[in-house]
Amino acid sequence: MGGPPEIAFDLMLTDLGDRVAVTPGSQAGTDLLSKAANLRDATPEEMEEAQSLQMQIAGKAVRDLKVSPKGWYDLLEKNYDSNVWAKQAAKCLSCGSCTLVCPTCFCYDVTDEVNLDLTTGERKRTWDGCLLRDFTKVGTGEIFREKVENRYRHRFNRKGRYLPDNLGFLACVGCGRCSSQCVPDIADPVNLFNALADATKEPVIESEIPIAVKTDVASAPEAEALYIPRQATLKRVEKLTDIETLFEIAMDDGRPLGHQPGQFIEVSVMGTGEAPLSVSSAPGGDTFEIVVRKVGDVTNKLHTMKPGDKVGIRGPFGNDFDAEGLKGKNLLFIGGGLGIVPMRSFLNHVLNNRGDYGEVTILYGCKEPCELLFSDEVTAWGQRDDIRYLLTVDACSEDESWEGEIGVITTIIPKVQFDPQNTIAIVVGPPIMYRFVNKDLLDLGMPEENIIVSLERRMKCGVGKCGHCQINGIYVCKEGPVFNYKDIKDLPEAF
Amino acid sequence: MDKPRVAFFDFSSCEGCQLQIANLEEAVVEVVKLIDIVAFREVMKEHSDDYDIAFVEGSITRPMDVERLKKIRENAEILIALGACAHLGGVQRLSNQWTSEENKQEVYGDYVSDPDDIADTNPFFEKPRHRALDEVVEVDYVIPGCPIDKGEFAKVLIAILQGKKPPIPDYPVCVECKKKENVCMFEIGKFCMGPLARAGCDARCPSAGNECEACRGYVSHPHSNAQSDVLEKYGLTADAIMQRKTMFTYRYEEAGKGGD
Repeated sequence: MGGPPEIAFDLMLTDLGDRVAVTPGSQAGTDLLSKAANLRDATPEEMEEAQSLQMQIAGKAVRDLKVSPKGWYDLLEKNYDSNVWAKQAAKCLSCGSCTLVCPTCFCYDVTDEVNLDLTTGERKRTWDGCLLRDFTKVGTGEIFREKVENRYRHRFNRKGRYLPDNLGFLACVGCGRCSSQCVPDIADPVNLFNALADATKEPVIESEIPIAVKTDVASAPEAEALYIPRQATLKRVEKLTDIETLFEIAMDDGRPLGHQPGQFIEVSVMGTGEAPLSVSSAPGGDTFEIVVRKVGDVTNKLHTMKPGDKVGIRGPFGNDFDAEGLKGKNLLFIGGGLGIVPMRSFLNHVLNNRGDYGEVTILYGCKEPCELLFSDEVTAWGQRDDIRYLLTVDACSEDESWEGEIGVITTIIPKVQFDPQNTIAIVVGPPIMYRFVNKDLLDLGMPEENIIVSLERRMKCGVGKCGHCQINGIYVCKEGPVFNYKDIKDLPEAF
Repeated sequence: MDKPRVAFFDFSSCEGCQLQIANLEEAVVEVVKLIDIVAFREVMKEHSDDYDIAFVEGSITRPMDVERLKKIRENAEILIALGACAHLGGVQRLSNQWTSEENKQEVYGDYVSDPDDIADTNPFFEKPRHRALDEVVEVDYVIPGCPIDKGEFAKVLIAILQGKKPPIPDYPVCVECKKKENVCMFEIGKFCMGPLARAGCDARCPSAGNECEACRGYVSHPHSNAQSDVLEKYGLTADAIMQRKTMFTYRYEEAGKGGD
């Protein structure tokens, strides 16, 4: 885009009908050409003919970009909430064609396909695209970019902001494939960026490309560690509720998992699939624990498995609660529903090393008494005088007994004493919970940087490649799932 | 489930979907290792009403069909709709836009060979209204398509035997066309339902140069207004759009809304 002739190439081929003119454009091109057979120097007439054809074609390719690619980053940032997105997306078929033909789109899905003998099969990687509705769908059913306009916006932001942030270059090569394949004609980046330019009143800031990157691609771990599951054995299977079961797992190679509190793993059930699951036990020991809710194929299958059965494990992945950095701090744990599962890895670490931390307060809420997890451990909390805790349920039916509070989790925050200025809150729960809990903590005077959250997204690959878990430009599987609230509060897709 | 007992049934249909299964060829050997087929009128004489899984082809048309389907539902642990007629009501559903009298007149005219055969007392002519299976009984899974894809039948069977949700895609045919590097039907001046239609057929029609008719129904959240705009942009009239949109998908129009 932007037109010739200052374009970079190694060799340019120009079709002269019965001959092809080859123009070298770099040393690499010249070197390659020197190895080729059946070449002769072009005559002056042929060179003129080739140049004239190149100019003709280049003339056709010239498009008027109102903002040069150097300004796209700023243009996209300024126009995140523009109505241009909804206007364009009203015509979008959500068919995913633009992503499937794009040379810089590399998001993928992975499925297990089993043969008719039911014992052999393949784990297959297939294209996926962020324009498709289920792209961000997690096991519990939430879809994080449900509106077409949000998916449409994500694609352009990925090209102009998110991938540049991660890889250092604009992810549009100007090939025109998306615009040629888009039936309603809304994928053309030139039209879109021009529409954004028209909607922008302030001057657009241009930035240098390549831009500084935060990811060191070269330091990525070896491919095997990334993609090949290690075999592991279920050691203990303990049903916690009707739909949640705890699995204690040991790695077969004897090498411990080596996780830090808050990290997650990818659990494979061969032939069924792979799912991201939080490690629920404190670090250390030869085994580790996960707690699994029955929500999909992999989790349903896990619920049918017995001690001795084999699973595959990749990971641990992602960052952690920084157990070291939080030493000496007062901690307020706020867990909602299944949020207690990842939180427990840190909570139990703190309880095991109680002297290393300041005051410890636990607020744990779930929908109804039968959903309470780890009731034995909760009972044990009651026997300690070095922690405080409160339990709550949203509702309690008459035939259930319940001694804790009744009301959503925010109703018990005011019931415990803590110094907001000198307390770190660890907040983990369903997506809806964060908005309310975080607001209440801030209203109490807690500084933003004192709130630590762990977010759930579709972490399909776990290693920052497949694209499913992105919150705006952030890969939750790599930069999360644990975040400091201050760092992500301005990301529109975070909460 | 140890080697489940499987039965096949048909209602108003061409039985072409069952034919696809009969045509599984060498895979049949593998299939019969996994299941006991206890009823399959198209390929065997034996019949048993003791089965775990029922595959049902065809639309439900008359009160007698409703009764029969309900019995199948009672007998089967898992009931699977086989093909477009069972899934959507089939092309025959288009006849729902006229009264049964009008349909009878259109088909048979005034010709009467034996007055008893088409008299209103004949149960075969009782209130024919075409409906999909799930409008009559609860349906566990659907294998869409006209006809079904035999490969997909095998995939669904494997998934059920593994206790998995059958892998029926919920994205449009465009995805499969792009993966196969097909030339877009719109690009060559044809009108294609692919952007709305549920994939899983490996874009069979566009791959052969024919536009998609959405025989597999729509994806769960079709953007059908956008599709109408597109068709208009390509010069299709409102009437032609309606015709295109109701070939296999009159169900959605009848209900006055898109989606399953």
